[in-house]
Amino acid sequence: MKPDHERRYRATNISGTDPRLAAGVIGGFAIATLTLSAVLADSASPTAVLAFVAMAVAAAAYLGIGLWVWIRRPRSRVGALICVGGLCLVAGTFTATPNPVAAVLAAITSAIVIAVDYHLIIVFPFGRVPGPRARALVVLGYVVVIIGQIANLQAQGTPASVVVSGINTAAAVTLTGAAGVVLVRRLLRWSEPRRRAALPFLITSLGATALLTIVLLFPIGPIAQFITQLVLLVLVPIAFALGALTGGLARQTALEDLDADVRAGFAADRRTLEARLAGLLGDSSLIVGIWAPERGAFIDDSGRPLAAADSARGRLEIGQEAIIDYDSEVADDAAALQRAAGILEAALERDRLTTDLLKSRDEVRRSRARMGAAIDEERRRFATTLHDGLQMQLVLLGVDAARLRDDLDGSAAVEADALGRRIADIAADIRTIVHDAMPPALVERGLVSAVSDLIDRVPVPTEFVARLGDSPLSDVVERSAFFVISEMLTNALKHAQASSIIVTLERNDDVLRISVADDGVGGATVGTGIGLRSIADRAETAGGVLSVGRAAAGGSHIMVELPCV
Amino acid sequence: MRVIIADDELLLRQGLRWVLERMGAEIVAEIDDADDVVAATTQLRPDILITDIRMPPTMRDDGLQAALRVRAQHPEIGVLVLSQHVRREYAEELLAVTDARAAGGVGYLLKQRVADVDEFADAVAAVRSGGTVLDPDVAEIMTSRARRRSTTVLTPRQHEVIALVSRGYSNARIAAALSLTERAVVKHIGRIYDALSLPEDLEINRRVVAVTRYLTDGAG
Repeated sequence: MKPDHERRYRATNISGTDPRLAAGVIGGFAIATLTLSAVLADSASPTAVLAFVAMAVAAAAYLGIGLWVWIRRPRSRVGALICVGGLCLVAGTFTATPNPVAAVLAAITSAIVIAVDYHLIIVFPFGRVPGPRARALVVLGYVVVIIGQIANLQAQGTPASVVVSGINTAAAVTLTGAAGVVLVRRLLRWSEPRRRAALPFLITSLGATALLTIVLLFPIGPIAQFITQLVLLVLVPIAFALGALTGGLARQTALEDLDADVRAGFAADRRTLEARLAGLLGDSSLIVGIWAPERGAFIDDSGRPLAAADSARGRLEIGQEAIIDYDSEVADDAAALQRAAGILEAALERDRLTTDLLKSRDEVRRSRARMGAAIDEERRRFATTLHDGLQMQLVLLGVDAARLRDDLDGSAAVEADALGRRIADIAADIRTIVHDAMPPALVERGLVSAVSDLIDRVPVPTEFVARLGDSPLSDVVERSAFFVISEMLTNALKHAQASSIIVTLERNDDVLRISVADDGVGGATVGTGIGLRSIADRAETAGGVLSVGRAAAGGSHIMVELPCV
Repeated sequence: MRVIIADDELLLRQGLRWVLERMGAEIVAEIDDADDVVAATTQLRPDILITDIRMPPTMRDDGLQAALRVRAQHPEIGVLVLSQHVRREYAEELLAVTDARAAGGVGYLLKQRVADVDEFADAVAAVRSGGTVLDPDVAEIMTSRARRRSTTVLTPRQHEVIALVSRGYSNARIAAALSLTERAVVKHIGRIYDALSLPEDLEINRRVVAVTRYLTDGAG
């Protein structure tokens, strides 16, 4: 069970892009782009050079913060979001090129950073969009910013520019206000100390976004306005990172991350969970106790019962089945403890579901194996019934026909002879039916004998190697293996058009490995092969697995492993 | 001709008895358990033992095992194995205990062939006189394998002839089956002996050795 669990753990761990890899890729891309942009920049114009430098510095700041957040919270998307903002600024440095098309595109792209800032305000501090209305607001932010910037560029130098910038200012203030409402409503639900911890971000971010357009009204010259805007833009991610990952909200953010991890199947085992909770609550003595009914006590990870509660230790009960045992002097954040209890409950629930699922999967597998064995047993009984009854009767009937012929003369004797031949034909048909239902060799001699019989009837040269050792296989395994091999040979001949085949039977302790390699057309896969589906079904019914590879002879190499205990 | 019949089905033994008595044989014992076969054969010394394969006590290949033991102990007694199915593996085991110097031969036929009373009588007679008789079904599997082997150097016609020899056919029957003269058949068989490097030896039944060597690639 344990290795299975670990395998599942690894299998689910696909969404977490390694932050270090992301840092390498994004950093490299940014540096390459900035270099290109610097080469293309209009170095003759001091304004252009200044714009390039300011934009590049802002981009670097933005990317630095983004990557730091990414590393701190590898499975949250906030780090990636901030990096997107940084890359928009990197693209924005192309405003310094003399090429007007590139400059316009760069101006539009760089404006997206404003929308990223709104986005950050709305998802502060945990990185989650709180609901559909907030989600709509985020999308609206991107749309308004892009359209506003396009209008701005269109109107530049025309009398309409005043109107456009007026509308833009109004839109910016409205968006800031709406994002502010979302944030404030969230803060109102929080406890007093947490609200206080969030206040610096609230003021900084809303102030910065509000000032972004207002700064254009101040007569400080376009260069100063531009640089002030960049500073304001970068202030929001800085405030976000400091507010969410340090100070009073850091623990809360980490708890929310842990909760999301637990629900997504990460941090699934108890030891990891315990260690992360202990780290978050700052209490290294924290123990997660699970109720053990057979012991009548809560036990820790190594199976020892927890000591009785005393005044120095606090305990939080999660229903009847678990407790968090902590040092009440050290872990004194009641709200954080409550949240930790909630996370533990979610983890237990998930664990129970997983266990139930595994159990029902095992039950299905077992019942399928029982059905498969019952079907094979039924085939054996059917074949035996025919062998002992019908086949013998047909021999006697044939003898009777011969006797009749002896007693008759003329045309009647000829008819008796014909009758005898028809009986012989029917007997041949019954032989085929009995053979297909359950080969006599399998009943009389077992698997190896039956397989070599099967191979005798294969119309292409077929090599057969069997290494089965001394301990006999059960009838159930022998029958499953035989029919699997029969399907595999049929497949090789019918679909692969093989002209030579190698069949190998090998037993390693509890596993019977069947392999059929051919020199046919190859390219068999479990998904597409017509014949492979029925082989896989046969193998899975017996609790085995099918794998497909390439044979040395150029065709397919099909392998089935069956458990044989 | 004195015969022991071993089969666990009473009705089948009766049918067999009728066919054998029709050809003038005397049934000296009927046995329904493979464990009793060797003792009865040793005691009664029949000319031929005719036995089923799937028999008590285990209902697996008990009859065949008994037949192989009888062959090993009493090469003068012919052994004819009957079964509802014929298999190369069993044929090879029987060929391995043929003895070209012995009076008794070895046969392996589908039970259904009993109903073809005249041909069955020929087969019994061939086994009685030390010949080898294989069922056409199993002979076909084995000859097609022999044909694929690169070591065999027979011509297509010789393949046809030896295949019929392996079924226990006399030269006259082979000639009729292949529309040849009997003289031509004798010539073909002589060349087959050469091809299989069988020296002239009055003591041995060269037909038996040729069949065994041809069908099992070597041991003869």
